[in-house]
Amino acid sequence: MNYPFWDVPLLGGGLVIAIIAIPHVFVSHFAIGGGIFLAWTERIGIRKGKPEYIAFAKRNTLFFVLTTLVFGAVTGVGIWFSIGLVHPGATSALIHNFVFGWAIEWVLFLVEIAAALLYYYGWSRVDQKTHQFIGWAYAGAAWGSLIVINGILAFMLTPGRWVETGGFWTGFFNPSYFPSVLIRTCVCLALAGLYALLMASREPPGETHDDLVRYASTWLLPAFVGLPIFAAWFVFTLPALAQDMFMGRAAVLTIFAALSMGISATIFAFAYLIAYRNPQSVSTPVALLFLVLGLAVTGVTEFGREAARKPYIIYDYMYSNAVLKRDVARLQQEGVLRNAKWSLVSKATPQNALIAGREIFTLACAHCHTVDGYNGVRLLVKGWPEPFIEHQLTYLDQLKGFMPPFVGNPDERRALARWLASLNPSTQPARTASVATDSLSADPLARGEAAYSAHCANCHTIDGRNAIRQHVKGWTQSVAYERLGSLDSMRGYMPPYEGPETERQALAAWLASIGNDAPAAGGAR
Amino acid sequence: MNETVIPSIDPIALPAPVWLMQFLSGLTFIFHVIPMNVVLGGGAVALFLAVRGARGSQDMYVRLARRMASVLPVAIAMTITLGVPPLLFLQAMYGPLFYTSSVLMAWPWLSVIAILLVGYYGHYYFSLSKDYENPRTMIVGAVAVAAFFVIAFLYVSNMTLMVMPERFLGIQRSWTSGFLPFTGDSIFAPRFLHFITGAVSVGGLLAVFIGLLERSDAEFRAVAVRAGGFTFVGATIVQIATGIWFLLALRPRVMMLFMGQDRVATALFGVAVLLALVAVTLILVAVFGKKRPWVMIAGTACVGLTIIIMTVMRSIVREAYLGTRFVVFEQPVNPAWDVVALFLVLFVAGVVLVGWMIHAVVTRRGLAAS
Repeated sequence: MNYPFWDVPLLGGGLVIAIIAIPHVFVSHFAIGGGIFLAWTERIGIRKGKPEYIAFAKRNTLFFVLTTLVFGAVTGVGIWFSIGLVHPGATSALIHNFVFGWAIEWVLFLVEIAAALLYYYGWSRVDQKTHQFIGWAYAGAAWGSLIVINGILAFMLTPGRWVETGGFWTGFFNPSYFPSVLIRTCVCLALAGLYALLMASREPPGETHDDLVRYASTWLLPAFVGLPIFAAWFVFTLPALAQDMFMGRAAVLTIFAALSMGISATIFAFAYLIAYRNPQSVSTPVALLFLVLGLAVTGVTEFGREAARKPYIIYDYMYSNAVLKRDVARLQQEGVLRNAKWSLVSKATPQNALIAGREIFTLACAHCHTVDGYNGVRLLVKGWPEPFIEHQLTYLDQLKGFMPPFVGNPDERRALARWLASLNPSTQPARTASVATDSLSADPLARGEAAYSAHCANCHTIDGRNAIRQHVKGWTQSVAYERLGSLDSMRGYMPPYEGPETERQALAAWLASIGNDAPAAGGAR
Repeated sequence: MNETVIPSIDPIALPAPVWLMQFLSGLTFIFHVIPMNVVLGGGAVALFLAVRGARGSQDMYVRLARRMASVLPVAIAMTITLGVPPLLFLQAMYGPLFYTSSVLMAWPWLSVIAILLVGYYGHYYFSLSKDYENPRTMIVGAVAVAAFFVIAFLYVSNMTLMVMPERFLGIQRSWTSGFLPFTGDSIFAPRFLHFITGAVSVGGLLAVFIGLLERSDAEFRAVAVRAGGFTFVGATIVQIATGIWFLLALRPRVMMLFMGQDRVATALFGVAVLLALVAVTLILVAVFGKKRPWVMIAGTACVGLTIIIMTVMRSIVREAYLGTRFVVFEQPVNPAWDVVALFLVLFVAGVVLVGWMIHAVVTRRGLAAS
């Protein structure tokens, strides 16, 4: 609310960052691994008297140089541009704390760029020893830039004691710093290996082809051994909520984590079983496929890492909607509109509820949600009656742990609920009426299940996350009926049950039936 | 809409005094501006020579264009790399203004990245292809040159808007917010023209240098020095004219700073004009006289000094435009001297290392004796 908001319809700002950041992350890791790969391959060639290794390194230098210099550098600047547009407040906080960290990274990048170019131009212009030195300067500076930028990236997820003490080094050497450095280093080597596999696969069939393929596949070994250990260490350093999200609280994140592990395992299996053991069978399309899988796993993992930070952009300091954690209580009293510099209205009233609601959405929600596109809110609140929306907003952070608390005052909450409800006007009346009486079924259990779907399933599943079966275990119909009458006093963040009497009876009967049944095969519903 | 809205300064204090960040920002900006002018102006002059040479079958122009084009990819890498620190320090010191102006022209500003990729790869193609008879090469070259002019346009737009916070709210409330670059002030056109004519001047200097470094072919040397010299002198004269226009377009109270109201500003302005005139004279002598390298070097040094003074003047104009609405020196500072020192040590070590590596490659280290 300090800065004007850049509205990106359909995509949302977060996806704009992801579109630039994911290729950059892939290419930058790959370029860092490339620097080490080139220097090491040249060294092996010299030490073991294998000219084909030297020739291989030489042939691939231009590609790595062009990748680093052009795509890596430009998309790196691109991330910077995009985060400044989407999250100016967070970018400003990071720059204020880490401006000299970035400046140090820039020095290393400067050396990397210069060394990469000189390594390329130096193949026939300097002796081997000097060329090797330049190669290691290239590799060292590239890896150095990684270990610096990693401090800032890891800080956003696990700032640790910085939140209380501030200071550069406290934020830099944060809890997930070391596991992140090790993970990223393994990834760099693996991606360079995947690229080298592709290049080696293009060699004519024969001994050189097989030798280079086998050699390239060994570059995946550090990742194969290290990633499971370092990833476990990394997860261990995460805040409890982020761990929960990986472990099932946020289904998408769990799926992403599983995909990341699954694809990685597939790549390693390929590297060992095919590339290492049967190098002659590695063709260019197969190697290309696995390089693409490398891109996929980078994208999935980075996406997961970013998502694990929710509801924050800088953990425990700034929420993803740019509101400082320490300001929440004040804003809940004063209201966001009064503090919003760029808003059309400064106060929410019943008369301006829709305009104010839209403004509050922009201030409090639009950093993560669009209206109709990515994470589109229209679909998310479809079928929700206005009081239910307001109730959800009241307990937003408790009901959905990965969302920040609603930061407006009660008038603003009502205005936002009104505006959100107005997004699906046709579904509003249906929701305030009885769903059970709408049901054609005469079976009370079927009507009860329909009532469950309408009233409870927005937050509960039957056997999965927030499982209703666990909550109603052992309940009789009369207990269930009674509890339905006091939901909001029983658990403060649950809305009161407001359906008609017949529906309440049917829902109680259904709850009692599942509370005394064993879980159905198939799990969460 | 006259209300001026400026976001609050970040609650996290700056980790170094503002004077130091201003100095580092200015210093790195100067290092950025030189290769940037080579890319912008050198690319345009190379394309012009390639077209002229290919159409008129003038091989010398084509050769000169090739030599100039071969410099471009490395110059782009230097421009981007050396452009990072000034933008970094700018964001640290002027975040409330810079982020706001960027958001208000978000799509054009973000498009800089895509345009840069097009221009970068385009110039690689243009410099590696070298076949200027081929229309495809010329089209790619023209697209690359145009790309860098568009980037210059967008940068001037954003840097102009950020010093005019009184415009922010009006733009934010308009339907064009985020979609259009800012051009709505009388200083925009002269500032942009002044800037690009300066780049063309530097492009001319590049040609002159390529000529002077040519030792074996006297004809090529003469053509390159002459073509570059004419370009430099012509563009500098236009640049002086656009500079006067720029000065007159400034807000009167800002203009008056350079007209005697502020001694330092006036002195800098006077010296900059004088240096530009001396540079033109020296380079004219170098081009049309006996082509003595030291005269050329002295002329180029004058150009360099002019760039340094212009950088200082640019920051005077910025602070004068902002006035009391945003005083950059009035920000909370909590110096982290250990990190600053680490940066400075690494910076010096990095420069020494790069210098050594360049020296090794240029002198063919280890091979020279064989």
